[in-house]
Amino acid sequence: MRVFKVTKVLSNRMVATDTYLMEFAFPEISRSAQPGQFVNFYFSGRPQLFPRPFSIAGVNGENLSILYKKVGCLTEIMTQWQPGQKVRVLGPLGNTFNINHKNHVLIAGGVGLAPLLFLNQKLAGSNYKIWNFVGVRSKDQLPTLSLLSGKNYIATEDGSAEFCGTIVDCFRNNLGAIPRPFSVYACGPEKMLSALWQLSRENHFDLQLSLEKIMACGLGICQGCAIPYSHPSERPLRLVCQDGPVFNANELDME
Amino acid sequence: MTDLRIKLREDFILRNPLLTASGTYGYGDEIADLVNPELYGGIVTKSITLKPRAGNPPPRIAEVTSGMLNSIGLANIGVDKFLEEKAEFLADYGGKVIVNIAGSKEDEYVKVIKKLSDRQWIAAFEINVSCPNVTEGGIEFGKDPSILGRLVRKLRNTTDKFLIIKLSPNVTDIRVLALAAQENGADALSMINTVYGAAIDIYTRRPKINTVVGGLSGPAIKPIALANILKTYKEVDIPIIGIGGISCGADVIEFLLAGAYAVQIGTANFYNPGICAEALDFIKQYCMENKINCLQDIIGQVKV
Repeated sequence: MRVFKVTKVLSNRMVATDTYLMEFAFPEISRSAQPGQFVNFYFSGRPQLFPRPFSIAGVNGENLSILYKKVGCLTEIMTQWQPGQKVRVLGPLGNTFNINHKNHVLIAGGVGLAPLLFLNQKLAGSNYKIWNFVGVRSKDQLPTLSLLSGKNYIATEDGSAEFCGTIVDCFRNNLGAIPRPFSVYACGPEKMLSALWQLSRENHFDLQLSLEKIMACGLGICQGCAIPYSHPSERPLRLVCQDGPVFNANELDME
Repeated sequence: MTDLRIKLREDFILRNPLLTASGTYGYGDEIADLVNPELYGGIVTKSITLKPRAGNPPPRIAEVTSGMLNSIGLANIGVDKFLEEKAEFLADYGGKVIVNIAGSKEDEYVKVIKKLSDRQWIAAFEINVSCPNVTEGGIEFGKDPSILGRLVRKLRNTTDKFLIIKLSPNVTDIRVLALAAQENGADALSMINTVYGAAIDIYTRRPKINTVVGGLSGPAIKPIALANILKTYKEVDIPIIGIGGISCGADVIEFLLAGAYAVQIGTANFYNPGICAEALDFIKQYCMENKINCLQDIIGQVKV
């Protein structure tokens, strides 16, 4: 069930350059929220009208967290929120990842780590095997978070830590060593997702991508976040907010 | 307690002046769990066309200063599916159901109305003659008074239901179109539809929406809406329903003072799901403080 309410920020700390982890109370949905789903934050009295969508990055008891990056004036305002700050939030919105296999590969680019943190949290502690690939531009962008469950790979594009290159290159190098069948779940910049999409076509693995588009409502009403569907005869467009944000690679054409 | 009811005609009374604007509240049922539709005086549905439409290719929206730019292109499920899927919910609705209709030919409007006219639960039709985002029809019907007049006359001869014509601000003088609609049998006017607008990404040098020019909505267009309503109110005898950037209860009062009998809340539904409840609270408070017993009494009462 979706809930729109005023809640309070519980903590809001910087975990990497320009990257923050914010926790807030949301007991109404903390049990039902699933990895891949997102919440909207609302801002009033500002020239920027649209609410801002954020993937749920984790659940802790009755609280939810989001991982966000300062990219514009609204996220800049968010970085200044102190514990106790009242915020208007709506969620959970959108769909979730499908858990098909026992071997799971999580691939994150930058702040695209957010939904995968939550997915890792859900998968941990079961008899699943998890491989985490986390890519950032440079070492200072790597969030100082507690270690993810499973085997961890880190890539920096400038080579300032661990693998030097993109996270897709890092994954490609290790692809052969991961026992099949496995599912890959990914979130990150469009270039990264498109490279993974290509790789999944060549190497035939299950790939689920969490997408981001500008949304005015997040509820399927404004119809603004439409993307082309790979089988146009059925329904030529899909809505990222409602049909997604998680899509199977075969639903998308990212050539 | 103030009487919030608004009489647009002897037999057409709204329980309060707040309506949803077409395209910002779906068909009524999709977000009923978040925004109680019973708070509204009525629901104006998303534009319905004869055949389903997927709408324009992306990108179809952009955020601009105090506004929203869109080129959705009348994406909708079509009249047959609308009746199949939405009739049950809308038939139970306590407010007025106003079905918005769009078309690219006169005949299409007529066919849609014929399919809907015998439904008791439909209180009114709002005719979209002002969509800026489709290549054929749409706004073409809303620019030329003789073309508009002919369409309105045809629709008037097709249905006895309350007929609202939604006008575009993208014309030299909206009053000419308003009078053409009135003379040919319209029961009310709604204004304004979105204003032509554009935005460019300076890094990619591409327009921010696929159609290059789209429709601007949100608080940015409120003064444009008010100016058009003030001008038109003096010229016409039929009621005006105000639309354009309403974002709070004070805005609603402002529109009523300018001459609107009722208002539609549009883009604000996207960025504030609490808008309707908040606006109603404000209106009640305002009326109490200003000793207004009957909200209808303030319509057109701007001191000019």
